[in-house]
Formats: sequence, structure tokens, C-alpha cells
Amino acid sequence: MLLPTTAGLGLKPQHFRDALEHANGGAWFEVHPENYLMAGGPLLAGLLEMRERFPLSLHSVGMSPGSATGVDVAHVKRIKALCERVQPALVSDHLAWTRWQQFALNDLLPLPYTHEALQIVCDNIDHIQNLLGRQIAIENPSLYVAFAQGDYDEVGFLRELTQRTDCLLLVDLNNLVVNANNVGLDPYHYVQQLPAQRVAEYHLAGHKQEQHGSALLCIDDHGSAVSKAVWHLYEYALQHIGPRPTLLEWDTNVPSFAELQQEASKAQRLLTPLTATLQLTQPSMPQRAAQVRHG
Amino acid sequence: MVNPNSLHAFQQSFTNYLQSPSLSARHTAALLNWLSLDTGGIANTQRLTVYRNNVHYSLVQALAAQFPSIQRLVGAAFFQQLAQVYVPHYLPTDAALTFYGAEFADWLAKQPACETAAYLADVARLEFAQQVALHAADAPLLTMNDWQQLSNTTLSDCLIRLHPSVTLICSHWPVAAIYFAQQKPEPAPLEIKAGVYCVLIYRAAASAQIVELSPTAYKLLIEWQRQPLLTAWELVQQQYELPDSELISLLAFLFNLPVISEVLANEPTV
Repeated sequence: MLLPTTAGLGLKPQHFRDALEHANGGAWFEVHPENYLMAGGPLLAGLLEMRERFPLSLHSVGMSPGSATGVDVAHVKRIKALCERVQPALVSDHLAWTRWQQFALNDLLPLPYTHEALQIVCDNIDHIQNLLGRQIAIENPSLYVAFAQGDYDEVGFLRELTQRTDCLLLVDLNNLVVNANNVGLDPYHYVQQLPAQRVAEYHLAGHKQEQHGSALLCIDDHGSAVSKAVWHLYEYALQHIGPRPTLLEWDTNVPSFAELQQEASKAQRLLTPLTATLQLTQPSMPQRAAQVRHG
Repeated sequence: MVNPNSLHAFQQSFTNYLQSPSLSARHTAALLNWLSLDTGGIANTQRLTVYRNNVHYSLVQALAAQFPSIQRLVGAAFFQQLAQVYVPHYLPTDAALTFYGAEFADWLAKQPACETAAYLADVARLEFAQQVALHAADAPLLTMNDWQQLSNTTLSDCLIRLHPSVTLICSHWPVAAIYFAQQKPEPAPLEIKAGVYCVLIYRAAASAQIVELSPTAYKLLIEWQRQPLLTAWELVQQQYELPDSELISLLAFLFNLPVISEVLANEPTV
């Protein structure tokens, strides 16, 4: 099953029942596989029930493509086992590292964009894709620090990554707005430079702002409505890259399912005219970006 | 020798920074050389703390979610202090946090601050067993009808396998009573007397269940997994000086609990 080019939702267990009762036919959902790697029980059963009705995307926070100590093979194999059960339409992770040796560090930690880091990330993504037997998509991270030295800017690093590993991209527009403030990148130029044919999904989310003296630091907390700046950038991305499955993430201060649907419907209103046009002219285009290679 | 300019060196320094219990200048300095001097008015030391706080805050929250009764017993503020000491020493090794805090009960037992409340560690064991119960593998359960199909000889000679969700706890403290008291909006003061208190935790109706067991039922469940029923019962009888008739009522009680998955033929040892 492919991800439809519609607005999907990050799924929380407290919303399983609402989703089954109230989600419409074009709905799809995304979960962190790390929350469903248990052997059995009601949470896993709930996810399997959801999967019977809706396409799912697995968005990992633990495969750690950026780790200099390599891939945690056991963890990736557990995700593969979950993939076999839920047959996700897409599997993704982040341009970040979350593991050092035996430790799982539970945050998306930053990488310098050097030749050495590119080789390490490429090797890890090759390893992950081989273990999973499928392509994955890599998400641009939110950043709180900038590195003194690098051989690439982030979008250049991602372009190289997609060419060398044949991976896809998940473009988080909220992260670009956060990073515009935090490390001074130009999000519109970034979107222009992305290889559009590689973009499989967009993420939209809210962030908060912390005042540090006269300066602001944006914190990617996924705890509020999508900001105006992110909506503007999304409209720009829709024009330059094209419509793609678009996920609303809301992970802290999670509102009711109805409120999440309301927020996601704003994205759907922007997507609908574009996908209708594409269906008239290029019937296969809306799904092409979300196609995954099964090994 | 690790190249100090390598990604390996950077990630080692970053992990040391995240692991250090308090923010040390040494661990921070090792990272600052990597970062841009153009900081936009926010010092890199402040920027780095976002990552450190994300890691520590999320793990403290995960621990609080696993042990809500411990948090109520010691108070939210003291629990935060405990968790902030625990987290840097016990960074997760699994990116799935479902069972984060597996070492918390043992760690708690060794904390001087908890000496006056020795029952805390066993209450923590009970709470963690609920997580185990909730997320354990699915497996069949024997019904009363299954038991009725067994001949007396087969029953006498068989061993049992408990459902994967089951944990048995034997404590010097009334851990189930302490736990249940914490579920009330205003927990009443509880008289806590040392003794022998046994608890069975298992999954039923998609939630974790807690049942207080007699020490004899506890002992029988432990021993019956290791040896045939009649041998297990002899051990229970020896310890507790029970009449034979007690076995019937114990079995009636256990057969009604959805905790036994399988009966196993006794394999004679060679």
C-alpha cells in the first residue's frame, strides 16, 4: 500500500479509537516504530488494527544513520520484523545520530557536514536499507548549533546522500523554519536546492520560541499549531517540489483527535487543488514519490 | 588512537557531555572547538544545553511514566531529584523506551535517601512488572475446560509454563496494598508492617492485573514450573505444614486465574 498524497496524522495510542471511528477514507498515519517494538499486548494489537484500515508510515528515531560507531543491527532487525507485520508504505529516519556504542541517547543529535560524515552516513544507510530490504527516507533535522567547519551545506549533503545511497527524503518544513532562526539557513533557497524527485513526504509541526537576552532560540517541540512561517514555506514547497503525502506532527501537549484533524485539514486544503490537477494530467504522479522498493 | 578531528571523537565528546551528571567545563570545552563562533547572540554553551535537556528531560519523563506510584510516595520534587541522579548513570541501551527503568528498583534499594522507606524498591518492582505484563508476548491460556480434560495422573506428573505476562513478587512489605493506596486521589495513611507478602502480576482484558497471593499459592506457582505438581506440593507442604486437602482449594484458585499457558510432560532427567 502506498501513502496517499493527502494530509496524514502522527498517531497516538490514545487516539486509536477516534481514528478508527472518525478518520476518513484518504487518511493515513505515522508512528515511531520504537513505540511498538514490544512482543505483544494491546498497544501492538491496536496498531495492527489500525493498519487493517489505513496506510502506515514508520518514522524511526532510533536507527541512527549518523553514528560513527555503526548501525545497531539488532534494533534495525526489530524494525524489519515490525515492517513485516504492518507492511508500512514508507520507512524513515533522520539525518542525525542517536546512538553511541551501546547507548541510545534519545535525541536527534547534530552532525558536521564533512566528507568523513557523509561517508559514514552513506555506509550506515546502505547497511540499514540492506537489512530492511527497502529504501528509507531521511529527514532534515532541527538544529541548535552550527559547526565551525564543513565540506557541504545541509542540502548539498542530502543531495549527495540520495545519489550515493538511492535513499528518499522526508522534508520537515518546520525544521527548516526552526533552523532559519537557529543557525541562519535560508529555507526557501534550501527548498529550491532539494532534488524534488527524491522527496517522499513533508512534515509540518509547531515549535516554541525561547528568549535568550535579545535573541530567540526556536525549540522543535511539536507542541502547538503549525506557525504561519511554516505554512508559507509549505505552499512554496508545494509549488517548487510538488504535492506529497504531508504529515501533521503533534507530540507534546497533544490535543484531541478532532483538533488534530482540523489542523491537518489546512494542509489538505492546500494539497487538494494540486493533486486534482495532477490526476487529470499525470495519473501516477501523486504516488510516485512515496513508492518504495521492496527487496 | 582516535583522530581528535574525527566524527568518532566528536560523538564520544558529545556522549561524555550528555552522560556527565552535572555540567562540567571540561566536557563542554571538548565540544566548543567544533562549533561556529557565529552564535547569533546565544552562546554555544546555552545551545548545547538544549540537547542535554532534551535527553535528560525525556528520560526523566519516561521514568516518571513507568513509576507513577513511586512518584506519589516520595513526592514529585524528590522523584525529580532521584531521576536526575539515575538518568546519567543509566542511559538507555534500547532506543525503544518501553522497558526503560529496568534497573530502577535495584538502584532505588541502594539509595541512602530511601533507607527509611525500604518498601519503595519492591513497589517499583511491582510497577515495572505491570509494564512487562502489558507488553509481553501474546500466548494461549488454559481454560477450566482444559484442566478438566487432564487425568489425575497427567495432572500429578505435569509441569506448567506461565503466561509471558506473569511476574511473581515476594516482598517483606505489603506492596500491593501500598500500590493500591496510591491509586486513590487522597491516599489514606497506611500502617506498613513487615511480613511475607506475595503478589501476582499478569495481563487480562488488555491491562495489567495485580492479585495478592497467599505464600502457599506463590510457592506452589514457583515450584510447579520446575517440577511435577506432586513434588512441588510436597515442598509446599513441608514448608507450611498443610493438610493434603489444601491442595484442592489451591488448585481451584489457580485454575481460575488466567496465568497458566501450558502443561508440560515431565521429562525424566538422564
